[in-house]
Amino acid sequence: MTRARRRTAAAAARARAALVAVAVAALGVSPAVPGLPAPAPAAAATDGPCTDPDGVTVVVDFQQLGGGVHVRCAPPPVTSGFDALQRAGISYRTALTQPGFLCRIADRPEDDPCVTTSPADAYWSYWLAPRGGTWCYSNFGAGNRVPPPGTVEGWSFALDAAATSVPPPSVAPPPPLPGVPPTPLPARDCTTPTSSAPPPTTGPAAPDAGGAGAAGGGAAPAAPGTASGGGGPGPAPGTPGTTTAGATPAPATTTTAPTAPGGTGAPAAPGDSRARDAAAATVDLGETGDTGSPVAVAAGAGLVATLGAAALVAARARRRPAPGAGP
Amino acid sequence: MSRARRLPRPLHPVAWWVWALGLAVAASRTTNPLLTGLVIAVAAVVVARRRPDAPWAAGFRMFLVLGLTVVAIRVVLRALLDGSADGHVLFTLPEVPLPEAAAGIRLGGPVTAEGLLAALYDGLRLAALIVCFGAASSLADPKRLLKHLPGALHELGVAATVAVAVAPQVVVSAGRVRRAHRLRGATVHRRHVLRALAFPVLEDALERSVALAAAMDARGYGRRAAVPASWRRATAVCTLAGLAGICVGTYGTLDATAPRALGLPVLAAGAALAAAGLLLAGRRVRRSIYRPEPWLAPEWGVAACGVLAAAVLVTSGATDALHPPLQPLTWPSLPPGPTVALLVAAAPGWIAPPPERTPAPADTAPATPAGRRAREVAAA
Amino acid sequence: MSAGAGAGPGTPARHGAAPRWRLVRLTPRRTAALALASAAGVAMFAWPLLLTPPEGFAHVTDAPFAFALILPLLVVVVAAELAEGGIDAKAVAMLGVCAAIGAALRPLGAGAAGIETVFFLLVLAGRVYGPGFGYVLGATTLFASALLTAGVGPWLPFQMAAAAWVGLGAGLLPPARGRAEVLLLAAYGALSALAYGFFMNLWFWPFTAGEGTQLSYVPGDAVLANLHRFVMFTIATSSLGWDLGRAITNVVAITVLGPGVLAALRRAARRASFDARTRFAPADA
Repeated sequence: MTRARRRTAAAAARARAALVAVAVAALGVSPAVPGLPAPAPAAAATDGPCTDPDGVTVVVDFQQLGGGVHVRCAPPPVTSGFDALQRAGISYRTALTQPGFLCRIADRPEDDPCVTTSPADAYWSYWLAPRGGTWCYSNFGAGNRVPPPGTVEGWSFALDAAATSVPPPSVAPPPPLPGVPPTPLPARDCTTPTSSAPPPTTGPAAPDAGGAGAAGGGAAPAAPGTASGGGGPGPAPGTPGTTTAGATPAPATTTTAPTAPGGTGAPAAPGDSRARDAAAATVDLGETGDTGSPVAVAAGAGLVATLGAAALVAARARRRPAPGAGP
Repeated sequence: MSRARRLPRPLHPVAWWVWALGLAVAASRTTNPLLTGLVIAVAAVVVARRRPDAPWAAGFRMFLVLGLTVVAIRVVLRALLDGSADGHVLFTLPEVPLPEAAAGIRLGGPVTAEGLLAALYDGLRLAALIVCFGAASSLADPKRLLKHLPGALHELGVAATVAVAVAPQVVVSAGRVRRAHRLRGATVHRRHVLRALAFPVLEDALERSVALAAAMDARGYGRRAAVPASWRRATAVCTLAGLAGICVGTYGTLDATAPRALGLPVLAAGAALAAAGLLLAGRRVRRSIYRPEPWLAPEWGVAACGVLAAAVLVTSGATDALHPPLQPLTWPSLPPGPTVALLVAAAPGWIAPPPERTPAPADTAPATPAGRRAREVAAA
Repeated sequence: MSAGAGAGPGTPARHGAAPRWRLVRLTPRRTAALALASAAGVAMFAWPLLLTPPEGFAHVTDAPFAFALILPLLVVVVAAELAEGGIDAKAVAMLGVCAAIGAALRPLGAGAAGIETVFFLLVLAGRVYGPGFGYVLGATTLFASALLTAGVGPWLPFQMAAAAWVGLGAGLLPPARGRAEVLLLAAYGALSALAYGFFMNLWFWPFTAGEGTQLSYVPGDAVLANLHRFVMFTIATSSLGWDLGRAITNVVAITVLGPGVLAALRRAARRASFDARTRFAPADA
């Protein structure tokens, strides 16, 4: 009896050790493990607008979240709106079920569960501008377009904003570098405030729409209840390759678009900028929130392994004839 | 009472199903691989400890394999067909662009850790669901479960019981027909072998059905209690209104232009009405259950464990602990509340009475066909 | 003999046509219940194509779980409705035995290129005994076979509902006799097999592909776009091959065995006197 018990205990211990090893190996893909290709190095990010004519300037305005306005430069080459954030050293989080939708920047707002798209009354809106130009609302999601080098990207938090008055970042896009003509934005990237054309709504079939489809605030938020095919900050996949230009008026069946999504951002008064700088100092843009520790994973894996071993032991005990059973 | 608990007896099947459904609901609320792995382990422990020895209870391993297959399919599909290349790229598969007709889908390409982990988390959740159902079907005798169908389904329950009892006999009769052919020395042409086998079996089964119907009728089966016409009208109204509510609620949930109130609330209300109509309709059926299953303290305990796990996970809301984020890549955590609730859900492996190790004595087949038919009816 | 079913569930049809029995009559109330349930059921199957999440819809992935809970209730309620007037012992016995044959046939072809042997009997029995019986037979056959092969899972209510529709459709086919009838049933068998596969795949597509792959469904996208992705997914996972296998099995089985089985079922119905009318008369002294 004791020998059998020792055998099963040894088997259980071996199984547990193996499972823990497998779990640690499989989950050793955290950024802490060397050898894993890391995202773009944050050390190359610089504060302030870009001095490199090919870099992309990123402006983050926390608005009512309280965190001020931050201007950073993402060094080239920048492959997407998300890449611009990464290269500028700004940490962000995308929704779990909508990997193309940005729900938090620097771990704010903390009460957004980030399981799916943010609600229409509290989300991050995505703005574009050429240097020295005016802010315009982006038609595409951050993962769906390649920012032209030298342009400016803006993220502004829209809290309780009506569809027609989403606030742009409260600082103007930085002026162009001396001697360098500002790179213009493609016409279809933007919903300019002067044109009354609505943005594309039901995006056509896109091969990569599954992953980078849902726009991170890239589509104009439709008024609640009038969305037909994928309006709102939710999924409205726009594809770079298609010609759903914002300039062409869309058919009447699509969502109503904001005609003036808040055009130019007026330059702020000096007093405001002091308060803003004070607020900006309280936020660490690289803050990623809690990334957890492998201890919990090891504990959980150990628990699962113990239960699995108990199940195996019970199954093996069943195969042996029960003492006192009939002939 | 404790002596009765220690004697081997089968637990009430509805208690096992309530436990399994509670565990399934709990598993569906989280994508944390630690929690879903815990659900699978808990189900495995309870099945290993309390599974009866009957042949229908031996299929749990198949469900585990099925769950593993689902996870593998998900991960492989995600690796081959990932839609985005954001994140930590683990390795790059060679790209195979498909023709234009396939909408330019790209096979291969960079494989990201975020993509694989997302597929793994979701696949594990689905595997946990499948394993919960497998546990229920390995622990609860389906024939005993048929006895506890709502009254309105009594006739259909009898039909299902007849089907489950007669199906093995159909197979036996097919063997008999083949033996008869061989004994007769008839050489059947290959083209007609199917007909030569199928039609006698079919005729035998249909004849059996007529005899069974006569036996059931002779025993007074199929009488309906007299209920006032207003009762029947109320039942009809309830049922039809409930079905209409479900229909409207379904389309309301799916459609974005419908007002919020027209979605899940109407669906839930319709379901409640339809269930009420079902219960009302059952009042017309007066039937007595032969040897009803007792519902004692262990049944309450087992059901409560499942309900507790579901309640804790549902009320925990959607947090980081239940849905570990993938951007930025985070280690899954082990939230104390849900973990304890899931560990408590393993208690039925000890609370439930031990299963009977020897086959039930009622399995000795009666000698006469009439006695067999009587048992078929009595088991309903 | 049995007072409840004394009216007799069957009536011989017009003279010259093949006699038809209606073991489960479709009253207006039952027809309404069937129609409502079918409309809701179609939405529960085809939700990947129809789902457009509204503002702040935080439960995109909850819809299938909610439907998976409600659909069994739907099937059960409609089945209870059909049985509401009282199914007499003969119909119950016939139902049980036909379901038994179907359940016994099902493991025969399992796993071999989609050879599904359970449907041809469903189509033939639905043709002979009426749409109501066909509906109930479909649900019962799948349920019984799941119980026998321990295949109870979250997919079972969907299989039951889809098979019930197949049986219902077989009963609603226009009247025909002889070879025309067999050809009609074979064509219906092929069509229903493809439709069954289409609906089951449609329901299971988001669960298999998940989210984020190029073949996943995108909530809120245009119906045609999602349909295109679904077709690609069907081809990629070679579900088309399985559906074709099922259709071919149906056609072959109905063509080869159809006439004999139809005759056997009709003979059994005549012998069981499904259309007998009972009449109570005072005993003469």
